[in-house]
Amino acid sequence: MSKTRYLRLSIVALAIGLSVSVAVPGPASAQLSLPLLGGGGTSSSGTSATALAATVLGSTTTLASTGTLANSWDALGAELDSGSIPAGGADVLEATAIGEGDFVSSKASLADLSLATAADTVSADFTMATAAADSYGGTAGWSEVDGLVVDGVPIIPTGDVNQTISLGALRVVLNEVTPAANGITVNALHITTLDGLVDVVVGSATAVAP
Amino acid sequence: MKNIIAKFAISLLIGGLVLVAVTPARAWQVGADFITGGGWYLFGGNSNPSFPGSGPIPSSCGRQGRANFGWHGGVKNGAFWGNGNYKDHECGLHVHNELVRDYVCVSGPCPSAMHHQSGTREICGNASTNVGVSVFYRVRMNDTEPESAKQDKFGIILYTTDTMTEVYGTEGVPINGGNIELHMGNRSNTAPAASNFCDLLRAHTSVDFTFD
Repeated sequence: MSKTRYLRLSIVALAIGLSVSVAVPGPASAQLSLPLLGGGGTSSSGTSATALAATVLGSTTTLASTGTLANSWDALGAELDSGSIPAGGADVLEATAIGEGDFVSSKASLADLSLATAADTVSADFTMATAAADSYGGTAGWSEVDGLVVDGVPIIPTGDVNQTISLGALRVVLNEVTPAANGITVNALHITTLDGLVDVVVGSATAVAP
Repeated sequence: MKNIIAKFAISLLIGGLVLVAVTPARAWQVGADFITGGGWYLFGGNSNPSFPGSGPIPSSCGRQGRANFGWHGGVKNGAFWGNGNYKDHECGLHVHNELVRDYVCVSGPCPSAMHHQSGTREICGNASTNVGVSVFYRVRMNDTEPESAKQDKFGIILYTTDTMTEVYGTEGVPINGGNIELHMGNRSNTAPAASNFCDLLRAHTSVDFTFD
């Protein structure tokens, strides 16, 4: 009798406990249902990001590139611990492109950029480019460059679009923004030699309206 | 009457113990969205707190210096999704994601239902290192809006793969440079079954992240 009563009461207590557990809001381990998010087109062709791309003497090397979003709810990523190009290299390369229905965005970042041409050097602690576009015609883009040094001269980013520095045989453009009819491309750094033999884009993000 | 109350109390205790046994403590939900980011921060000294290397991670790591990261995670088409890498410049430790085993919602709307929302997510899994050992990792990323406030946060904790012993950790609260973005959930965010791997690692954590 006593054991039976304990069992019954335990079942009742367990039921109470479960009820309280269900009723009290809190973290749960169950997976969420698929969000019902409407809107958005089916194409966002061109939305992509590349951490580092270099064309040296006609040969192009691309590192940590996402490729292009298949549609406006796709997600792509690429990363690389360290990468080399003919004129130098970088660490912690990463690029992502994400579709959110009626909004797409991409970004590319890297650390420890080091470039050397025959006569010039460029280094940066960190660079990042970000681009975004929505289906209503809005675009946005920005970049960040930390610890930039060109030929031993520290360069302070102004935040202006297309801030251009010419030193030695180099032309360096910070926050290079190229708007398009339905999107935008942002390059954190675009480095070229005056003879045209070296063309390096550091952190490039493109967003095309879905 | 006292007897009944006593029996009920004992029964409630039994029921409670059953609940405790079957329910992971503070289990997190699988996050049905994405978080992405890259950046850098200073740790140790007068900067952010850190957990210096121990066990297989050199003790020179995680003491004081600069860290860079590029990491992203989420769920996509019924599977955990993501990748990333992290570098401790102080000792040269490089951590590289090999397998995302969990992606959970720590705070903020889950899933994020608008583009510009604040929230914290955790990505957990297996990683390789350049010091000759594989590890389990927890990476915690926070997007704090507005972006102009520059309050995004990142942290990483490493564990041994045999005993899940915590052997390294740093965080940037906030990060000194870069950006972390929480992305709205979309139609590809079909979540896999909860793995509770982040919860499992957290249960083996003595020094945890300082931000939610």
